[in-house]
Amino acid sequence: MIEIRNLTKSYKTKYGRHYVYKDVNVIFPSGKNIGIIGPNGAGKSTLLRLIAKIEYPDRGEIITHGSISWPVAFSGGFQGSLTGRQIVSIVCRIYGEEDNIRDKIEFVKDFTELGKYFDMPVKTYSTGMRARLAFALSMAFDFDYYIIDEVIVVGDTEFRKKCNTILKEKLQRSNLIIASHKINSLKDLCHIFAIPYKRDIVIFEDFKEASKFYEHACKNGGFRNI
Amino acid sequence: MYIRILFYHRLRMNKELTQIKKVIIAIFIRELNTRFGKYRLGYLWALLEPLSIIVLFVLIRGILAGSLRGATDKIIYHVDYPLFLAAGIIPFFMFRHIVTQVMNSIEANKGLFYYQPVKPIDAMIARWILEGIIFSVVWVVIFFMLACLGFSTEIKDPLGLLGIYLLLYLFSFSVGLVLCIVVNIFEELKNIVPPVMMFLFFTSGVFFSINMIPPKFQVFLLWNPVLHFIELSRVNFFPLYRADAVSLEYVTFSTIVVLWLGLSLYKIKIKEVLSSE
Repeated sequence: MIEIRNLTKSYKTKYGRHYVYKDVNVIFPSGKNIGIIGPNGAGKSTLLRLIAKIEYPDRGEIITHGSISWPVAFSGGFQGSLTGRQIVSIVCRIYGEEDNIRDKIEFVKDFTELGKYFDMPVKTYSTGMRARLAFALSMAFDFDYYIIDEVIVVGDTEFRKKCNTILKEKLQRSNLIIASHKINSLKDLCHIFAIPYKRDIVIFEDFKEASKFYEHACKNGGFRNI
Repeated sequence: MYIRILFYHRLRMNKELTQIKKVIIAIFIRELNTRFGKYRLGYLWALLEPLSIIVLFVLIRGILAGSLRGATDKIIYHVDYPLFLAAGIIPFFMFRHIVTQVMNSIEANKGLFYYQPVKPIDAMIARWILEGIIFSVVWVVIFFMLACLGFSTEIKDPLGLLGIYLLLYLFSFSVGLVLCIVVNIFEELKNIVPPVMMFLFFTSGVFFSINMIPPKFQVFLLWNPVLHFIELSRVNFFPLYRADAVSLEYVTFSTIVVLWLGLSLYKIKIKEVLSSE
């Protein structure tokens, strides 16, 4: 379960304070995949980052029961001079899994099919290789919630199939919190739809209603609170 | 009931502490690999930097005195000039490196904070530990090299010296912690840190002894805690060395104040710093 209590979040801008959320109260029941929908700048990523505890609210709190992943396929923490193997081992240590380093390294090595590149500095990787490493690293850990910022497209068709398979496997035991600006891409995946709207969050359990509301809001310019 | 709650808190604290320890180890390994991987000379540079300055200033002095002998004269309280310099430069560089490393630790590890267990203080502590190890190695190697060249001394009070170094170690971290928060809020201030460090390099007693300065100028220099640290370390180092105006109370007090300021700033401002991107 994820409970958002009195959440207020703002950013300082040149033109004064910009409020993304103001006194928001929401409860996401456990065992449901959550889709966060909105155009660019609506506050999707902010909400994800708040839930992942990467950022902090100005006021209020976010109470999460269960573990939350880092944004899936995030590769911003990869230091270029480190090898893929070193990065996996460091992240294992960060998450207190130093006893399972060998297993996780094996998993990532197999999954990414990086071959000899696995032992070379990541700065020598292509964008696709980097993304593959980042995705596999996320999948090597078990979380109650996996956080996904925009639907990820990693690698070629073959690799994408593999990604979908393992994600489905993960979904047997875990849930997703996924942000997207295309509501249709979340239709089959999510049980709850959250739309950041006018500094609040509107929740729908029904896809059709959510979709209707979203279309309407887009047309009326309801997201232009900037 | 009360005991049970206490016990529970104790357990939770232990768990949190071991978690913090693991994260620090992970970042420490990362830093270790990163610095070695980036430039092959990474760690050698830590040695070459103070060494080259010692050689440079010994040479300058030799030229001024007109002879090689004059360059290494024991004119400051029976201390060989290279030893005198080394005893000032090495701790000063530790101070400078810790301050800049800790100050930049948030910027340099931004990507790591996406992993929930990693907190900024972990990155700071990991860098602090690495700098401490580098300092120890540099200290041993340089004084060993000087001893091989015939510049040796008995250490007057080894424990006292270690104590001063440890206090300077903590002081440097505290200054780095304060600056880390400050420069992340006011980014422009980052530009004035290098010139201030340069200023301190020449006014912290690295090249002179406070007793060589006329009393009416001492007053200004003595505001600087780093000068006290360097002179105090020399007093504990060389048997006949004297630095009359420096005080252990002043550096202890400074350390406590700066550490308190750093920790308070961290507590109050860290979430704002992490959120301002």
